[in-house]
Amino acid sequence: MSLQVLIFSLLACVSILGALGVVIARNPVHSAIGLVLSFLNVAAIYLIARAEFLAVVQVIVYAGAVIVLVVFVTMLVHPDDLPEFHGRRPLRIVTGLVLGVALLLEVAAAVLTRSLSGAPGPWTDEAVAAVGGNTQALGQTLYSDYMLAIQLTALLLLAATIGAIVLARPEAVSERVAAARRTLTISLAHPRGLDQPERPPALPRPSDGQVKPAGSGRPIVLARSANEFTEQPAWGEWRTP
Amino acid sequence: MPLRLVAPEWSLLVPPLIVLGTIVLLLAIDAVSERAARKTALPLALVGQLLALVSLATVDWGQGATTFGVSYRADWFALVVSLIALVSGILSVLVSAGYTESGLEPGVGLAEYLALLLFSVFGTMVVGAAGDLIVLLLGLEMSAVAVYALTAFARRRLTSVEGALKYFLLGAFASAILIYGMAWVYGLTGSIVLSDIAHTLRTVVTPGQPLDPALLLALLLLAVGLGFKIAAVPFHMWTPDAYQGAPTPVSAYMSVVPKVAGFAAVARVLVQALQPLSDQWAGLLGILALITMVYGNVVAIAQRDLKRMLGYSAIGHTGYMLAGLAAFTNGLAGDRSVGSVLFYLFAYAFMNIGAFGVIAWLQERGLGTTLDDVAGLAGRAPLAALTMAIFMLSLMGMPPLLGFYAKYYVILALIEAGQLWLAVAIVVMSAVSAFFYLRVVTQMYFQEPGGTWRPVRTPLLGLGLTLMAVATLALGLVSGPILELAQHWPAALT
Repeated sequence: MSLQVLIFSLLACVSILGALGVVIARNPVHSAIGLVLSFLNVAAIYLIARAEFLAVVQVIVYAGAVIVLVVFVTMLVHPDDLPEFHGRRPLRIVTGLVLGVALLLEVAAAVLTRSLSGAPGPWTDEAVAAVGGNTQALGQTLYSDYMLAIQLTALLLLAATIGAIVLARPEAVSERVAAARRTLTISLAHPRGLDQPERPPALPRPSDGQVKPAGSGRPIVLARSANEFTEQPAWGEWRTP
Repeated sequence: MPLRLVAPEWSLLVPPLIVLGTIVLLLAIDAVSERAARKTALPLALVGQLLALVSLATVDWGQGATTFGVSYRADWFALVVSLIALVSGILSVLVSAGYTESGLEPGVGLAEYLALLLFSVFGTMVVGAAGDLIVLLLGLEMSAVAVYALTAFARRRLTSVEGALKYFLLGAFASAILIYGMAWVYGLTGSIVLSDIAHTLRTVVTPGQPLDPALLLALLLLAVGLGFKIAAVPFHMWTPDAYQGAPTPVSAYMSVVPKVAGFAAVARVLVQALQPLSDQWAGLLGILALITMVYGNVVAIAQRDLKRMLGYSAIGHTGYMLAGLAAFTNGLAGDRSVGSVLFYLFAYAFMNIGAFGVIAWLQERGLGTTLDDVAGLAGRAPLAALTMAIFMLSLMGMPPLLGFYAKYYVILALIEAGQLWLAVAIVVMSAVSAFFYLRVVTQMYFQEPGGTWRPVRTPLLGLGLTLMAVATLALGLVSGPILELAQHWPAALT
């Protein structure tokens, strides 16, 4: 067994252990650490396969950005709110396990019995060496053959960004007042279907406060207390007082 | 290997680029002045899409020219998909006009709303013209991502957020499966270019022989991923909640354009790239079609909410379209399968956006979305009731409305392909669907009105509804040219 195979086996084993840790750990932060471990080992495997660019991207994007995101969410979500903490669901666990094992077996069978194999592409070792390495070769291919895909990815990210900003934008007070004053039936798309036979509770009017048109045309609401608006969440379920 | 930089053939890209330009203009105006954006956004979105529609005529689609290597194909199939996407986009913008006309939703950023809607149209056009798997996937994602955000646009309402979240999570899951399937196809054939994949597979697959298990796995993964995108049973779980929760104009839009993108992707991947495996996938699609149409139509009977009912009816219609694809025989000039599906999508755009449009019209007037809310509509607003009746009868498949011709061509394709059992299933399921479509009509004409009625003026929405009603009435009788256009598909896909 050569040294390379030995190192690969080691990295692969640690990576699988890390992935197992993600699933098994009870504490979400431990899961995140397991994920980092797995990602870093996979990055090292990319290095063995001489895919330096992929390895760097794996570290920056996955071990960096994605993990930061995961940790952020873990911090923001109260652990008691996570579904797993509301009693275990054995049926779901068993179903997930069975489906996962079935997919694994399926993939294993497909790998072991396949007779087809991909045709080699134009990037032979010599061609890669001629342009200076894998990273250079990847860059050249991306910005010539896959130009359209690169541009479309940019547009896709733009669309996703616009959507995220629209949804996360805080509501102006005037919007919230207007929405609270409106009877709900006038709202576009008010569901009163089978799933929700009960109408949502009538909204409390913003107290007996008065709405006076000010000089600028913006309504001024006189509220009795500061709690009056904070009791109504910006979006989401209406809490009955 | 030297770097090859080739300038793309810009003239082929004119229609999608016009849509893209409209998006940029919309966002730029909104950034400069919100007041100006509120006034100009709707006309701008309409004019932009109309221009794109007209510019379809500037491209010579018959040649099947490609640009960006072979990533972008300007062929007949791309033309028809772009045509359907743009027409549905225009109709959806008209349906959305209620947002500004009665001024009921103060929080709606109109420019962002329309920009996202156009992004989705753009993505659908890209799917139609995709020449390789990556571009196809990116177009499919763009058409879906914009709609995820649009579904949650009524973010004060819990159902809207819930529908969007289900749609988003299941959509992301489906994309993951789809990408996994694409990776397998790439690994097995060594190419992501659709025509190359077909070429490679033709050399290794012999008809009648059992399939390589790896190839079968790839096919199944692709079918599952695409099944989610078009809401085929058993991958339909997100549909009713998303349709019911989304703002009504968004429901109108997402019942058509993402479905067009999904079916375009199915046609590009299965019919074009995996054509040598047609024996396997045609059978699979046939079974999916049967359970999809039965489930959608039977469950729709139990719904009292119109949007939810239309959600299940959309599942049923997915079943009819899948049946059209299952009629695939050989991909030669006489094969009607994909053409009948394209025509079905075209017809479906008019009648389904129209049905949701009438619901939006009612909501503008202070009514809800249940069956009780349409009670006695004929007495209050005879024209609205008539329009709704036209859409319902057309969705049911009543001759000589557009919906009848759509089903007729699918059934014709099935009979020519010798799949009589699916043709019979479509007829039976149309009869079942009459129950819930006609129930709306009887509610409108034979019940007493209830609820509060708030008269408002919505001229653009009215214009849209009139257009769609007239099209549903008349286009069936003059469907020849569109059908002929759709039947050019073998030149593009084989």
